[in-house]
Amino acid sequence: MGWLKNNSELIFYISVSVGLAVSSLSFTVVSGLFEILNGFWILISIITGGIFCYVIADSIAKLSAIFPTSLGIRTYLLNGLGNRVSLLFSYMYILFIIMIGGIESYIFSLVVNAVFPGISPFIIILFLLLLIISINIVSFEIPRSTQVVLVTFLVISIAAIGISGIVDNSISVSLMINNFDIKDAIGIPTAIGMSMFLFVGFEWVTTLGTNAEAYKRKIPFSMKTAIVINTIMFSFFCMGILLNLSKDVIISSSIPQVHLAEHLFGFYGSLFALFISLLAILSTFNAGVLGGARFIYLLGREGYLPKATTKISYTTGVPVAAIILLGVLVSLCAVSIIIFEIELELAIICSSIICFTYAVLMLSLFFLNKNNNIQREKKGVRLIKYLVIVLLFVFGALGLFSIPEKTTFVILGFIITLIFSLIASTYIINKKQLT
Amino acid sequence: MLKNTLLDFQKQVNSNSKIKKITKNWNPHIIIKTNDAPKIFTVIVNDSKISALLETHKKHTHELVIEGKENILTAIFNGELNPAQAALDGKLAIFGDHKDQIKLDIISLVLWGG
Repeated sequence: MGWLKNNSELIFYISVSVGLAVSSLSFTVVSGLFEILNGFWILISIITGGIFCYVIADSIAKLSAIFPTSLGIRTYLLNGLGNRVSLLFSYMYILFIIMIGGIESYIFSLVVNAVFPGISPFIIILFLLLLIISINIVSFEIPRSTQVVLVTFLVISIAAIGISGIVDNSISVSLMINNFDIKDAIGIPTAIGMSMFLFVGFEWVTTLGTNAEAYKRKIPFSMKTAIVINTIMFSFFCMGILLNLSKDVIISSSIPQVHLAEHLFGFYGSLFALFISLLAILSTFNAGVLGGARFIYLLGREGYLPKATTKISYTTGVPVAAIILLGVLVSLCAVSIIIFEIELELAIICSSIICFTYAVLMLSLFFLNKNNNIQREKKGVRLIKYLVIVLLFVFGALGLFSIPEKTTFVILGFIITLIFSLIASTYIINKKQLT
Repeated sequence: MLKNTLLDFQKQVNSNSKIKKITKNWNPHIIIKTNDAPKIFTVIVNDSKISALLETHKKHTHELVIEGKENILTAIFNGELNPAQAALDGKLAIFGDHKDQIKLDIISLVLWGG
């Protein structure tokens, strides 16, 4: 107990970093990986994705130590690569948050429908978003200790379902090993880009440090530990799926966690999967909405978004206008996903955006170090980081072509996102220069 | 210089009726630390006003810590520099609840409109 008390701050950071990365979408990403790869290659892609994120976390930790409590990518890119690049990626990041929110809500509606068929997905999404927006507007926050307990329960549950699947396998392990074919590795680059999605969110903890010292040791350690925990947890989960469900079942569904739990434990298993999904969506979505709203509020304060986004509640200090705006945009995105069934397409676009964003963040650190005479990293470390940057650009680009029948829509969607962000950033910078 | 600026800031805050609404039921200790000189101040917010300004760190369970260079902090508390902008530019570090940070930012917005 004494150890827990002494390390409560560190444990809280780890729980935030893990909790923000585990979402309902994570399970859909697992389905997507099965669509690209076969058998044990999926595990290899997850572990490699984890290693990539570990290297990225090292760069983000260094950036956050230089600019503690700042607004993440906006500040890091502004200081490293200039206002234009920073603003371009900030706008893309807002679009990313909206798309992720939409996909998350849609997937949650699928999980509820799988357990309780007959409820309209529109009603589920509306209810969920109203709940999250209300929680944020009334400024309700779960205590730190509860957050730690919930995330621990979530991690243990997901790993336990996976381990149960491994123990109680209905598909032979030796058959899987015999079917392990080197030719299947062709999809590895795209799959690594996609599997990095299982870790996205680990960096949000950088806004929560309680003192400058935390940014030197505890926050870097918490991000890296969270990545290791998530790698192990999702590896168990994927093994469980691999050894119990057929590929057709996995790729035809966006909610493999429900199918696996139901396969192993019957109806109560699917109820349990629903509960886990609810925890996962609350752990990411609640913090995500508030974090995203703060991002919008501060860009509004800078004059890079309409002034209306800076309205706050005088009593609670909550950025009400930004929360409502984000909630409405996420709802519209979720409704579009229900109507056009474009969840996988948007997930691929988001995956590419995050690969490019991480790459420019790492580049930004190099420029910052060079321009400010900050002690450079060892040559070997720098070489590894350069390699990761190049690969992130490659994975981000390849990801857009990962599912051939969806390529046209995905590329079009990505280009629209890029052009919108480019026009918005150029227009607003020129307008500010004129005034 | 920073001390005089903070005393002026205290007067402006306490005479503004709109800010009373913002600070209602908000009772943090705002710790202001310079990182280029060994100066530390505690701004005590209590009963909808800044009730005291101390040249020491008076600990409290509800704290908001602001760290930066003395000239940056002075510019912020006399309204020359937008605190949100300073935080985004990386010139300022603010440790504490995000909602407290926004409240402080809104106080500067109400006082100086920037």
